[in-house]
Amino acid sequence: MAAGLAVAAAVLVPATGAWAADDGKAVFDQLCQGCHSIGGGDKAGPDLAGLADRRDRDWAEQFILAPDTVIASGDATAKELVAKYGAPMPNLAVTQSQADALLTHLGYADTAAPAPATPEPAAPATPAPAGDAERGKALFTGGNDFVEGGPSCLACHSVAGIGSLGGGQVGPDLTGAYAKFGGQQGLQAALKSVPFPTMAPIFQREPLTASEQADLTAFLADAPNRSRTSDAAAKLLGLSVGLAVIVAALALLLWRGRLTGVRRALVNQVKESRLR
Amino acid sequence: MWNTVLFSVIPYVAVALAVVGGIWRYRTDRFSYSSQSSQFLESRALFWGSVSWHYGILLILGAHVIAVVLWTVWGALVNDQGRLLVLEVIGLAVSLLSLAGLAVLAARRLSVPRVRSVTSPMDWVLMVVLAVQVILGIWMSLVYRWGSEWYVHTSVPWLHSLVKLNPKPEFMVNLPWIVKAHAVLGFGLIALFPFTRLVHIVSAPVTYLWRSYQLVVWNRRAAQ
Repeated sequence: MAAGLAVAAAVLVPATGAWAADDGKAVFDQLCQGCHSIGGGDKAGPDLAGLADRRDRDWAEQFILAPDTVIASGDATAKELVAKYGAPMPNLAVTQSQADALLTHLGYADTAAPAPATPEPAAPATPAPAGDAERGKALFTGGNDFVEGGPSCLACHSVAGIGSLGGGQVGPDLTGAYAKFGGQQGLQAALKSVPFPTMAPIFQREPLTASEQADLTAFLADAPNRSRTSDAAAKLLGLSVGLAVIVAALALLLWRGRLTGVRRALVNQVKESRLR
Repeated sequence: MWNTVLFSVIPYVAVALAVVGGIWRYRTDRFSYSSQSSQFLESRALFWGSVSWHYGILLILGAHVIAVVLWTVWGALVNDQGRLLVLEVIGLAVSLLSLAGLAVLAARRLSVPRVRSVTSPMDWVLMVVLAVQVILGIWMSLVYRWGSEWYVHTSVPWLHSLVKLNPKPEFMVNLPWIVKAHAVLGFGLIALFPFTRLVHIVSAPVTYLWRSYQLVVWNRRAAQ
Protein backbone atom coordinates (compact mmCIF):
# COMPACT_ATOMS: atom_id res chain seq x y z
CA MET A 1 0.00 0.00 0.00
CA ALA A 2 2.73 2.38 1.06
CA ALA A 3 4.83 1.37 -1.91
CA GLY A 4 1.85 1.97 -4.17
CA LEU A 5 1.42 5.49 -2.82
CA ALA A 6 5.10 6.21 -3.26
CA VAL A 7 4.91 5.16 -6.88
CA ALA A 8 1.83 7.27 -7.42
CA ALA A 9 3.58 10.23 -5.88
CA ALA A 10 6.64 9.70 -8.02
CA VAL A 11 4.49 9.66 -11.10
CA LEU A 12 2.38 12.63 -10.06
CA VAL A 13 5.06 15.03 -8.86
CA PRO A 14 6.49 16.14 -12.20
CA ALA A 15 3.03 16.46 -13.67
CA THR A 16 1.78 18.53 -10.71
CA GLY A 17 4.92 20.65 -10.80
CA ALA A 18 4.48 21.55 -14.44
CA TRP A 19 0.83 22.32 -13.95
CA ALA A 20 1.57 24.43 -10.88
CA ALA A 21 4.18 26.54 -12.68
CA ASP A 22 1.72 27.41 -15.43
CA ASP A 23 -0.98 28.13 -12.94
CA GLY A 24 1.48 30.23 -10.94
CA LYS A 25 1.86 32.63 -13.83
CA ALA A 26 -1.91 32.97 -14.08
CA VAL A 27 -2.16 33.62 -10.34
CA PHE A 28 0.70 36.13 -10.58
CA ASP A 29 -1.00 37.96 -13.45
CA GLN A 30 -4.27 38.01 -11.60
CA LEU A 31 -3.17 38.94 -8.10
CA CYS A 32 0.40 40.19 -7.98
CA GLN A 33 1.35 42.05 -11.10
CA GLY A 34 -0.51 45.17 -9.98
CA CYS A 35 2.28 45.82 -7.51
CA HIS A 36 5.12 43.45 -8.50
CA SER A 37 7.14 42.54 -11.55
CA ILE A 38 9.53 39.70 -12.14
CA GLY A 39 12.63 41.31 -13.53
CA GLY A 40 10.85 44.52 -14.50
CA GLY A 41 11.99 46.58 -11.55
CA ASP A 42 10.20 47.75 -8.40
CA LYS A 43 6.60 48.95 -8.62
CA ALA A 44 4.45 49.58 -5.53
CA GLY A 45 6.17 46.47 -4.18
CA PRO A 46 9.56 44.93 -4.87
CA ASP A 47 10.71 43.22 -8.07
CA LEU A 48 10.32 39.51 -7.31
CA ALA A 49 13.08 38.27 -9.64
CA GLY A 50 15.52 36.19 -7.63
CA LEU A 51 13.16 36.06 -4.63
CA ALA A 52 14.08 32.42 -4.04
CA ASP A 53 17.69 33.48 -3.46
CA ARG A 54 16.76 36.27 -1.05
CA ARG A 55 14.09 34.68 1.16
CA ASP A 56 13.59 31.16 2.36
CA ARG A 57 10.52 29.34 1.17
CA ASP A 58 8.69 29.27 4.51
CA TRP A 59 8.96 33.00 4.93
CA ALA A 60 7.80 33.70 1.38
CA GLU A 61 4.90 31.29 1.78
CA GLN A 62 3.75 32.84 5.03
CA PHE A 63 4.04 36.34 3.60
CA ILE A 64 2.05 35.46 0.50
CA LEU A 65 -0.66 33.73 2.53
CA ALA A 66 -1.02 36.32 5.30
CA PRO A 67 1.22 39.38 5.00
CA ASP A 68 -0.81 41.17 7.69
CA THR A 69 -0.05 38.41 10.22
CA VAL A 70 3.66 38.40 9.39
CA ILE A 71 3.81 42.21 9.64
CA ALA A 72 1.87 42.19 12.91
CA SER A 73 4.26 39.60 14.34
CA GLY A 74 7.02 42.22 14.17
CA ASP A 75 9.09 40.25 11.65
CA ALA A 76 12.20 42.31 10.89
CA THR A 77 12.19 41.69 7.11
CA ALA A 78 8.50 42.53 6.83
CA LYS A 79 9.04 45.70 8.85
CA GLU A 80 11.89 46.72 6.59
CA LEU A 81 9.75 46.15 3.49
CA VAL A 82 6.85 48.18 4.87
CA ALA A 83 9.23 51.01 5.70
CA LYS A 84 10.90 50.86 2.27
CA TYR A 85 7.71 50.77 0.19
CA GLY A 86 5.67 52.99 2.46
CA ALA A 87 2.67 50.69 2.72
CA PRO A 88 2.09 47.14 3.92
CA MET A 89 1.15 44.47 1.40
CA PRO A 90 -2.58 43.82 1.63
CA ASN A 91 -3.85 40.35 2.50
CA LEU A 92 -5.16 39.10 -0.84
CA ALA A 93 -6.71 35.95 0.65
CA VAL A 94 -4.40 33.75 -1.42
CA THR A 95 -5.27 30.07 -1.05
CA GLN A 96 -2.68 27.44 -0.17
CA SER A 97 -2.79 25.94 -3.66
CA GLN A 98 -2.43 29.38 -5.25
CA ALA A 99 0.52 30.09 -2.94
CA ASP A 100 2.18 26.80 -3.90
CA ALA A 101 1.73 27.61 -7.56
CA LEU A 102 3.09 31.11 -7.08
CA LEU A 103 6.13 29.88 -5.18
CA THR A 104 6.88 27.49 -8.00
CA HIS A 105 6.46 30.30 -10.49
CA LEU A 106 8.83 32.46 -8.43
CA GLY A 107 11.53 29.85 -8.64
CA TYR A 108 11.16 27.89 -5.43
CA ALA A 109 10.89 24.41 -6.94
CA ASP A 110 13.13 22.51 -9.32
CA THR A 111 10.26 21.87 -11.67
CA ALA A 112 9.28 25.53 -11.93
CA ALA A 113 9.48 27.30 -15.21
CA PRO A 114 12.32 29.84 -15.23
CA ALA A 115 11.28 33.32 -14.27
CA PRO A 116 10.62 35.42 -17.35
CA ALA A 117 13.58 37.64 -18.07
CA THR A 118 11.62 40.26 -19.94
CA PRO A 119 9.87 43.01 -17.97
CA GLU A 120 6.19 42.62 -17.30
CA PRO A 121 4.02 44.80 -19.51
CA ALA A 122 3.39 48.13 -17.80
CA ALA A 123 -0.33 48.23 -18.48
CA PRO A 124 -2.37 45.86 -16.34
CA ALA A 125 -4.05 43.07 -18.26
CA THR A 126 -7.26 43.64 -16.32
CA PRO A 127 -10.10 45.66 -17.84
CA ALA A 128 -10.68 49.33 -16.97
CA PRO A 129 -12.22 50.06 -13.54
CA ALA A 130 -15.80 48.94 -13.35
CA GLY A 131 -16.49 51.60 -10.75
CA ASP A 132 -17.90 55.05 -11.35
CA ALA A 133 -15.57 57.98 -10.62
CA GLU A 134 -18.45 60.34 -9.80
CA ARG A 135 -19.88 57.93 -7.26
CA GLY A 136 -16.34 57.45 -5.96
CA LYS A 137 -15.99 61.18 -5.44
CA ALA A 138 -19.29 61.32 -3.56
CA LEU A 139 -18.10 58.49 -1.33
CA PHE A 140 -14.71 60.15 -0.82
CA THR A 141 -16.21 63.48 0.21
CA GLY A 142 -19.15 62.09 2.17
CA GLY A 143 -21.80 63.14 -0.34
CA ASN A 144 -22.79 59.47 -0.29
CA ASP A 145 -22.42 57.46 2.91
CA PHE A 146 -20.64 54.11 3.03
CA VAL A 147 -23.14 51.29 3.41
CA GLU A 148 -21.47 49.94 6.54
CA GLY A 149 -21.07 53.40 8.04
CA GLY A 150 -17.32 53.95 7.71
CA PRO A 151 -16.03 57.52 7.75
CA SER A 152 -15.66 59.31 4.43
CA CYS A 153 -12.08 59.25 3.10
CA LEU A 154 -12.02 63.05 3.34
CA ALA A 155 -11.85 62.86 7.15
CA CYS A 156 -8.21 61.80 6.97
CA HIS A 157 -7.07 61.99 3.34
CA SER A 158 -6.81 64.67 0.75
CA VAL A 159 -6.79 64.20 -3.00
CA ALA A 160 -6.75 66.49 -5.99
CA GLY A 161 -10.07 67.88 -7.12
CA ILE A 162 -12.20 68.07 -3.97
CA GLY A 163 -12.22 71.80 -3.35
CA SER A 164 -9.80 74.38 -2.04
CA LEU A 165 -9.81 73.30 1.61
CA GLY A 166 -9.10 69.75 0.49
CA GLY A 167 -9.30 66.68 2.67
CA GLY A 168 -7.72 65.60 5.91
CA GLN A 169 -4.06 65.35 6.77
CA VAL A 170 -3.96 62.50 9.28
CA GLY A 171 -3.42 60.05 6.43
CA PRO A 172 -1.38 60.56 3.26
CA ASP A 173 -2.61 62.49 0.24
CA LEU A 174 -4.10 59.95 -2.17
CA THR A 175 -3.55 61.79 -5.44
CA GLY A 176 -0.86 59.29 -6.46
CA ALA A 177 -2.37 56.27 -4.74
CA TYR A 178 -3.56 54.58 -7.92
CA ALA A 179 -0.03 54.46 -9.34
CA LYS A 180 1.53 53.66 -5.98
CA PHE A 181 -0.58 50.57 -5.50
CA GLY A 182 0.04 49.41 -9.01
CA GLY A 183 -3.26 50.30 -10.57
CA GLN A 184 -6.75 49.03 -10.21
CA GLN A 185 -6.04 45.59 -8.89
CA GLY A 186 -3.57 46.59 -6.21
CA LEU A 187 -5.62 49.55 -5.03
CA GLN A 188 -8.83 47.60 -4.93
CA ALA A 189 -7.09 44.84 -2.95
CA ALA A 190 -5.80 47.48 -0.51
CA LEU A 191 -9.32 48.92 -0.15
CA LYS A 192 -10.67 45.44 0.41
CA SER A 193 -8.24 44.28 3.08
CA VAL A 194 -7.30 47.74 4.46
CA PRO A 195 -3.91 46.63 5.79
CA PHE A 196 -3.01 50.04 7.26
CA PRO A 197 -2.65 50.03 11.05
CA THR A 198 -4.67 53.22 11.70
CA MET A 199 -7.50 52.23 9.35
CA ALA A 200 -7.67 48.53 10.14
CA PRO A 201 -9.64 48.72 13.41
CA ILE A 202 -12.15 51.09 11.80
CA PHE A 203 -12.71 49.30 8.51
CA GLN A 204 -12.74 45.83 10.00
CA ARG A 205 -15.89 46.95 11.80
CA GLU A 206 -17.22 48.90 8.85
CA PRO A 207 -15.78 47.32 5.68
CA LEU A 208 -16.18 48.82 2.21
CA THR A 209 -18.44 46.94 -0.16
CA ALA A 210 -17.10 45.64 -3.49
CA SER A 211 -18.87 48.36 -5.46
CA GLU A 212 -17.57 51.05 -3.09
CA GLN A 213 -14.04 49.72 -3.59
CA ALA A 214 -14.53 49.89 -7.37
CA ASP A 215 -16.02 53.39 -7.29
CA LEU A 216 -13.23 54.75 -5.09
CA THR A 217 -10.62 53.09 -7.28
CA ALA A 218 -12.15 54.73 -10.37
CA PHE A 219 -12.14 58.12 -8.63
CA LEU A 220 -8.52 57.74 -7.49
CA ALA A 221 -7.43 56.51 -10.94
CA ASP A 222 -8.43 59.88 -12.33
CA ALA A 223 -6.91 61.92 -9.48
CA PRO A 224 -3.52 62.80 -11.05
CA ASN A 225 -5.38 64.56 -13.89
CA ARG A 226 -7.01 67.02 -11.53
CA SER A 227 -5.53 70.10 -9.90
CA ARG A 228 -4.88 70.35 -6.18
CA THR A 229 -4.26 73.07 -3.64
CA SER A 230 -1.67 73.08 -0.90
CA ASP A 231 -2.51 76.05 1.32
CA ALA A 232 -5.58 74.62 3.03
CA ALA A 233 -4.20 75.13 6.57
CA ALA A 234 -3.56 78.82 5.92
CA LYS A 235 -7.06 79.25 4.45
CA LEU A 236 -8.63 77.44 7.40
CA LEU A 237 -6.70 79.60 9.86
CA GLY A 238 -7.62 82.76 7.95
CA LEU A 239 -11.32 81.92 7.94
CA SER A 240 -11.26 81.01 11.64
CA VAL A 241 -9.34 84.12 12.72
CA GLY A 242 -11.78 86.20 10.67
CA LEU A 243 -14.77 84.59 12.36
CA ALA A 244 -13.17 84.96 15.82
CA VAL A 245 -12.53 88.67 15.19
CA ILE A 246 -16.13 89.20 14.07
CA VAL A 247 -17.47 87.44 17.18
CA ALA A 248 -15.13 89.46 19.43
CA ALA A 249 -16.14 92.71 17.75
CA LEU A 250 -19.84 91.87 18.17
CA ALA A 251 -19.24 91.07 21.84
CA LEU A 252 -17.43 94.37 22.38
CA LEU A 253 -20.28 96.22 20.72
CA LEU A 254 -23.13 94.42 22.47
CA TRP A 255 -21.56 94.44 25.92
CA ARG A 256 -20.18 97.96 25.71
CA GLY A 257 -22.97 99.40 27.82
CA ARG A 258 -23.19 96.48 30.24
CA LEU A 259 -23.86 97.27 33.89
CA THR A 260 -20.68 97.04 35.88
CA GLY A 261 -20.06 97.41 39.60
CA VAL A 262 -21.24 100.62 41.27
CA ARG A 263 -17.88 101.14 42.94
CA ARG A 264 -15.97 101.92 39.77
CA ALA A 265 -18.52 104.51 38.77
CA LEU A 266 -18.23 106.16 42.17
CA VAL A 267 -14.43 106.15 42.03
CA ASN A 268 -14.50 107.68 38.57
CA GLN A 269 -16.93 110.29 39.77
CA VAL A 270 -14.61 111.29 42.62
CA LYS A 271 -11.59 111.35 40.32
CA GLU A 272 -13.39 113.59 37.86
CA SER A 273 -14.59 115.95 40.60
CA ARG A 274 -10.99 116.30 41.87
CA LEU A 275 -9.75 117.12 38.41
CA ARG A 276 -12.23 119.92 38.05
CA MET B 1 3.63 48.51 27.05
CA TRP B 2 3.51 52.32 26.92
CA ASN B 3 0.37 52.19 24.85
CA THR B 4 -1.28 50.00 27.46
CA VAL B 5 -0.33 52.44 30.21
CA LEU B 6 -1.44 55.49 28.24
CA PHE B 7 -4.70 54.20 26.79
CA SER B 8 -5.84 51.41 29.08
CA VAL B 9 -4.53 52.33 32.54
CA ILE B 10 -4.24 56.11 32.83
CA PRO B 11 -7.92 56.74 31.94
CA TYR B 12 -9.16 54.53 34.77
CA VAL B 13 -6.61 55.94 37.24
CA ALA B 14 -7.67 59.46 36.27
CA VAL B 15 -11.39 58.79 36.70
CA ALA B 16 -10.77 56.96 40.00
CA LEU B 17 -8.72 59.90 41.28
CA ALA B 18 -11.40 62.35 40.20
CA VAL B 19 -14.21 60.43 41.89
CA VAL B 20 -12.41 59.43 45.09
CA GLY B 21 -10.56 62.75 45.37
CA GLY B 22 -13.73 64.67 44.61
CA ILE B 23 -15.71 62.88 47.33
CA TRP B 24 -12.84 63.26 49.79
CA ARG B 25 -12.62 67.01 49.13
CA TYR B 26 -16.37 67.38 49.42
CA ARG B 27 -16.37 65.61 52.79
CA THR B 28 -13.34 67.39 54.23
CA ASP B 29 -13.42 70.85 52.64
CA ARG B 30 -16.92 71.36 51.34
CA PHE B 31 -16.81 75.15 50.99
CA SER B 32 -13.78 74.96 48.72
CA TYR B 33 -16.07 73.62 45.95
CA SER B 34 -15.86 76.88 44.06
CA SER B 35 -13.62 78.79 41.74
CA GLN B 36 -12.87 81.28 44.54
CA SER B 37 -13.93 84.35 42.68
CA SER B 38 -11.51 87.22 42.34
CA GLN B 39 -14.06 89.48 40.66
CA PHE B 40 -14.02 91.77 43.70
CA LEU B 41 -10.27 92.33 43.22
CA GLU B 42 -10.36 93.04 39.51
CA SER B 43 -13.36 92.84 37.22
CA ARG B 44 -12.69 94.42 33.84
CA ALA B 45 -10.03 92.02 32.47
CA LEU B 46 -11.86 89.20 34.23
CA PHE B 47 -15.01 89.91 32.23
CA TRP B 48 -13.35 89.69 28.82
CA GLY B 49 -11.03 86.84 29.76
CA SER B 50 -13.62 84.78 31.55
CA VAL B 51 -16.37 85.27 28.98
CA SER B 52 -14.12 84.37 26.04
CA TRP B 53 -12.59 81.42 27.86
CA HIS B 54 -15.80 79.94 29.23
CA TYR B 55 -18.02 80.32 26.15
CA GLY B 56 -15.18 79.02 23.99
CA ILE B 57 -14.19 76.04 26.06
CA LEU B 58 -17.78 75.02 26.86
CA LEU B 59 -18.69 74.96 23.17
CA ILE B 60 -15.58 72.96 22.27
CA LEU B 61 -15.91 70.57 25.20
CA GLY B 62 -19.61 70.21 24.40
CA ALA B 63 -18.78 69.17 20.83
CA HIS B 64 -16.32 66.57 22.15
CA VAL B 65 -18.94 65.19 24.54
CA ILE B 66 -21.79 65.20 22.00
CA ALA B 67 -19.65 63.18 19.58
CA VAL B 68 -19.03 60.59 22.31
CA VAL B 69 -22.63 60.36 23.50
CA LEU B 70 -24.48 60.82 20.18
CA TRP B 71 -21.86 59.42 17.87
CA THR B 72 -24.25 58.42 15.09
CA VAL B 73 -25.83 61.88 15.04
CA TRP B 74 -22.46 63.62 15.08
CA GLY B 75 -21.08 61.18 12.50
CA ALA B 76 -23.98 61.93 10.17
CA LEU B 77 -23.58 65.67 10.78
CA VAL B 78 -19.92 65.80 9.75
CA ASN B 79 -20.17 63.19 6.99
CA ASP B 80 -20.72 65.93 4.42
CA GLN B 81 -17.96 68.13 3.09
CA GLY B 82 -19.86 71.41 3.43
CA ARG B 83 -21.10 70.84 6.97
CA LEU B 84 -17.73 69.47 8.01
CA LEU B 85 -15.85 72.55 6.82
CA VAL B 86 -18.34 74.95 8.44
CA LEU B 87 -18.02 73.09 11.75
CA GLU B 88 -14.23 73.02 11.52
CA VAL B 89 -14.04 76.77 10.93
CA ILE B 90 -16.46 77.50 13.80
CA GLY B 91 -14.61 75.09 16.08
CA LEU B 92 -11.23 76.62 15.34
CA ALA B 93 -12.56 80.17 15.75
CA VAL B 94 -14.10 79.28 19.10
CA SER B 95 -10.86 77.59 20.23
CA LEU B 96 -8.88 80.69 19.30
CA LEU B 97 -11.31 82.81 21.34
CA SER B 98 -10.95 80.52 24.33
CA LEU B 99 -7.16 80.61 24.06
CA ALA B 100 -7.27 84.41 23.84
CA GLY B 101 -9.49 84.45 26.93
CA LEU B 102 -7.06 82.20 28.78
CA ALA B 103 -4.20 84.53 27.80
CA VAL B 104 -6.13 87.52 29.21
CA LEU B 105 -6.81 85.62 32.44
CA ALA B 106 -3.14 84.61 32.76
CA ALA B 107 -1.94 88.15 32.08
CA ARG B 108 -4.41 89.44 34.67
CA ARG B 109 -3.18 87.01 37.32
CA LEU B 110 0.39 88.07 36.61
CA SER B 111 -0.12 91.80 36.37
CA VAL B 112 -2.69 92.60 39.06
CA PRO B 113 -0.90 92.24 42.43
CA ARG B 114 -4.10 91.65 44.39
CA VAL B 115 -5.14 88.82 42.06
CA ARG B 116 -1.64 87.37 41.99
CA SER B 117 -1.58 87.13 45.77
CA VAL B 118 -4.71 84.95 45.79
CA THR B 119 -3.38 82.67 43.03
CA SER B 120 -2.24 79.27 44.28
CA PRO B 121 0.48 77.10 42.69
CA MET B 122 -2.24 74.66 41.60
CA ASP B 123 -3.97 77.51 39.77
CA TRP B 124 -0.83 77.94 37.70
CA VAL B 125 -0.48 74.21 37.14
CA LEU B 126 -4.06 74.06 35.90
CA MET B 127 -3.67 77.11 33.71
CA VAL B 128 -0.55 75.69 32.05
CA VAL B 129 -2.18 72.29 31.46
CA LEU B 130 -5.30 73.93 30.03
CA ALA B 131 -3.22 76.17 27.77
CA VAL B 132 -1.19 73.20 26.52
CA GLN B 133 -4.37 71.22 25.94
CA VAL B 134 -6.03 74.00 23.92
CA ILE B 135 -2.84 74.65 21.93
CA LEU B 136 -2.55 70.93 21.11
CA GLY B 137 -6.17 70.95 19.96
CA ILE B 138 -5.65 74.00 17.74
CA TRP B 139 -2.42 72.58 16.36
CA MET B 140 -4.15 69.29 15.59
CA SER B 141 -7.10 70.96 13.92
CA LEU B 142 -4.71 72.81 11.61
CA VAL B 143 -2.16 70.11 10.89
CA TYR B 144 -4.19 66.89 11.18
CA ARG B 145 -7.47 67.87 9.59
CA TRP B 146 -10.38 66.97 9.85
CA GLY B 147 -10.55 65.98 13.47
CA SER B 148 -14.26 66.50 13.93
CA GLU B 149 -14.79 63.56 11.61
CA TRP B 150 -11.94 61.14 12.33
CA TYR B 151 -12.45 61.65 16.06
CA VAL B 152 -15.79 59.85 15.75
CA HIS B 153 -14.05 56.80 14.28
CA THR B 154 -10.88 56.68 16.43
CA SER B 155 -11.10 58.32 19.85
CA VAL B 156 -14.84 57.78 20.23
CA PRO B 157 -14.71 53.97 19.83
CA TRP B 158 -11.71 54.00 22.16
CA LEU B 159 -13.67 55.97 24.78
CA HIS B 160 -16.64 53.63 24.31
CA SER B 161 -14.32 50.66 24.85
CA LEU B 162 -13.17 52.25 28.10
CA VAL B 163 -16.76 52.63 29.26
CA LYS B 164 -17.41 48.97 28.42
CA LEU B 165 -14.35 48.04 30.55
CA ASN B 166 -12.76 46.46 27.48
CA PRO B 167 -10.10 48.98 26.42
CA LYS B 168 -9.17 48.98 22.74
CA PRO B 169 -6.02 51.09 22.48
CA GLU B 170 -5.58 49.99 18.86
CA PHE B 171 -7.94 52.80 17.87
CA MET B 172 -5.42 55.31 19.23
CA VAL B 173 -1.91 53.90 19.07
CA ASN B 174 -1.22 54.70 15.43
CA LEU B 175 -2.45 58.27 15.53
CA PRO B 176 0.08 61.15 15.51
CA TRP B 177 1.67 61.89 18.88
CA ILE B 178 -0.12 65.25 19.18
CA VAL B 179 -3.45 63.47 19.08
CA LYS B 180 -2.31 60.92 21.64
CA ALA B 181 -0.96 63.69 23.88
CA HIS B 182 -4.27 65.57 23.61
CA ALA B 183 -6.22 62.45 24.59
CA VAL B 184 -3.99 61.54 27.53
CA LEU B 185 -3.85 65.14 28.74
CA GLY B 186 -7.64 65.18 28.67
CA PHE B 187 -7.58 62.42 31.26
CA GLY B 188 -4.82 64.36 33.05
CA LEU B 189 -7.33 67.20 33.46
CA ILE B 190 -9.89 64.75 34.83
CA ALA B 191 -7.25 63.62 37.35
CA LEU B 192 -6.56 67.25 38.30
CA PHE B 193 -10.26 67.88 38.97
CA PRO B 194 -10.30 67.37 42.77
CA PHE B 195 -6.99 69.13 43.36
CA THR B 196 -7.69 72.40 41.56
CA ARG B 197 -10.37 75.03 41.04
CA LEU B 198 -11.79 72.71 38.35
CA VAL B 199 -14.17 71.53 41.09
CA HIS B 200 -16.27 74.58 40.31
CA ILE B 201 -17.53 72.65 37.27
CA VAL B 202 -19.93 70.79 39.58
CA SER B 203 -20.91 73.89 41.53
CA ALA B 204 -21.52 76.06 38.48
CA PRO B 205 -24.82 77.87 38.93
CA VAL B 206 -26.51 76.07 36.05
CA THR B 207 -29.87 76.48 37.80
CA TYR B 208 -29.64 80.14 36.73
CA LEU B 209 -30.62 78.87 33.30
CA TRP B 210 -34.13 77.92 34.38
CA ARG B 211 -34.84 79.75 37.64
CA SER B 212 -37.26 82.66 37.42
CA TYR B 213 -35.52 85.91 36.71
CA GLN B 214 -34.73 88.49 39.33
CA LEU B 215 -35.24 92.16 38.67
CA VAL B 216 -32.41 94.31 39.96
CA VAL B 217 -33.48 97.90 40.58
CA TRP B 218 -30.73 100.49 40.78
CA ASN B 219 -31.28 103.58 42.87
CA ARG B 220 -29.41 105.73 40.38
CA ARG B 221 -27.82 105.27 37.02
CA ALA B 222 -24.10 104.58 36.94
CA ALA B 223 -22.17 107.68 35.91
CA GLN B 224 -21.58 107.73 32.16
